Amino acid sequence: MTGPPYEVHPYSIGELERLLSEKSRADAFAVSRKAHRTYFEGYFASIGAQTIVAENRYVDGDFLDDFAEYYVRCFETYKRTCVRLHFFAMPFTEEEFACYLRGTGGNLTGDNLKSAYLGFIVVKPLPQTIIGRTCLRTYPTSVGGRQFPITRQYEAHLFGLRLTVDTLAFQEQDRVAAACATSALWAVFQGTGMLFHHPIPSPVEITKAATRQAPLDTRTLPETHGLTVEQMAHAIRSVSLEPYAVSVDEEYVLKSTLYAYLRGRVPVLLGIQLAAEKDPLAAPIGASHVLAGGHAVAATGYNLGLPSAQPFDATGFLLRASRIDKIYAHDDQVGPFARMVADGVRVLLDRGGPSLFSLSTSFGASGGVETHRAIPTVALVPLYHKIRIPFERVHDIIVFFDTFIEVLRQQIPPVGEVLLPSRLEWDIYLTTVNDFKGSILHMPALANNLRLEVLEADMPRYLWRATAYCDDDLVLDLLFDATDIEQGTFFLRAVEYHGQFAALLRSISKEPTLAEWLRAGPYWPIIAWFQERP
Amino acid sequence: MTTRNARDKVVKKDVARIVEHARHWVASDEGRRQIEASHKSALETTERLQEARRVDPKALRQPMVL
Repeated sequence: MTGPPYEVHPYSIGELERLLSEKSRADAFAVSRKAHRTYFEGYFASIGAQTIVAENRYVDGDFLDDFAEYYVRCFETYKRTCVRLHFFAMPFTEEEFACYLRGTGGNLTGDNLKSAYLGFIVVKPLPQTIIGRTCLRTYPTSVGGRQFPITRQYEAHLFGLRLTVDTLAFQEQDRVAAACATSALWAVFQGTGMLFHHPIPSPVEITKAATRQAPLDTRTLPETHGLTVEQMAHAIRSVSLEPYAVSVDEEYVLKSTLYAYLRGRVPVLLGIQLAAEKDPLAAPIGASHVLAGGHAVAATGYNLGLPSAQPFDATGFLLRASRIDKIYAHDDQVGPFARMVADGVRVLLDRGGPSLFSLSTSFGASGGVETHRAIPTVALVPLYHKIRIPFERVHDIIVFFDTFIEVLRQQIPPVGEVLLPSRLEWDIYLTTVNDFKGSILHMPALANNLRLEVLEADMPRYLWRATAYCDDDLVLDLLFDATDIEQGTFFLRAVEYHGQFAALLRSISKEPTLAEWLRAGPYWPIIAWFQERP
Repeated sequence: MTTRNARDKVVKKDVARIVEHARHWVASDEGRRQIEASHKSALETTERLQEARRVDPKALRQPMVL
């Protein structure tokens, strides 16, 4: 064993760059050219990093698997241990840290180290792809704004000091044991592993599982040819989850689908086509961009940045998810929680072809200038097998129900003037019975008898929740059994927050002629529920 | 005064009349015609969405290489 067990350095991007090079086998030039370096510069500035503690001998379980599978068998000698860099939002020196460990006094305490902890980066002893498991505190969140619903608590033990950080782990693809899709799958499994209680495979295990049923055209390791969506689906099945694929090249479908599952704490794999800005010599005439290739990221959060929901299609349906202006993703080529902005820029790949919805991305950015656009293609949602009802079934029922309510609001003036002065805005997402009942328990304005009735009701473990708001006031919750079969009546019940509107629904649902011709419609179970109320 | 407070104040004396009026309207020919028109619009929207969400099988076999 050589060298000190730890070092303490004041944080600066230059110091981080130096440590990334010194603690790996990457030369300084290679580190300076990495997109991650630029990304970390902005990220650490925003979360306020001030000090780095380098833990010089760290055994990382994921790298150890990759090492045992591949690197140990190389003629060249690679180290089996990594270096873990810890980041703190407070200044201290190596001497102060030593005093704390020795227990000989000083200003540094375990409590202030814990509260200032920002997370860690594992530096792998490789020549290029050096960013291993990375757990960093998220950007600050805000209610109704930036949200990272799928974070979990990670522990880091530093010489006996138990540090924690709420985040979702990230790592760069190493292009040997893992491709970009492998890294995205690995990040997604970090979330689903806790949520659905499955073992979290290492990158090399994911690559093998993905290619076991559908082998690559060429050798599996080193992994240089990338995975297909089909192979990613096999990897998802290998941890006993079910892959649910949705085409997301339309903006509304992307936002509504991502939101519905992310809010339910299910991370989503997002397949994208990267398009480079037009090179006048290479791009077809009339095209704005040139396709660079397929890429996969793990969607991990969103920002509800638009001031109001955007009316959808001819129905004018208002969905809360349409307020999303930014998506956050673990992009192994950029960094954790990398921002992708729905800025309205459309991409034209062929003259006369369709202009395609796209997101901004820092992929391939140089000197802060973005050079690529991300064109979303497929969302792959890893689901517990009992979550059988997809988001779209519930969404489409609510679209029908909403148009019915809107007709009442528009055509019967007192309904629009008095009961519902604005169109309903719907918030539709996956949830659990525990989360739902927890939210009811903490709803102070709810009538006591209604609160008790809802809390005591038997419900399945997974629910689809569609909440209607009018001018930000709660109007109605519609709950659907996410574990039922599609042919079933998977509507469970409503929770009525707006007494007068509920009275209206209860009354009109009892009108025999209405019941007669709505019975075959998609939202009849909702009407029938109100019909059965006194 | 919030929207809800204003609404509650008015509704207390009028809600029964509104509910009765709405019940008659949904049972009327005009009500049925309007509701059916809204269903047609919702059907067009949801059918178009179902098509948009369908994954092209070719997309499943394209490798993510970057």
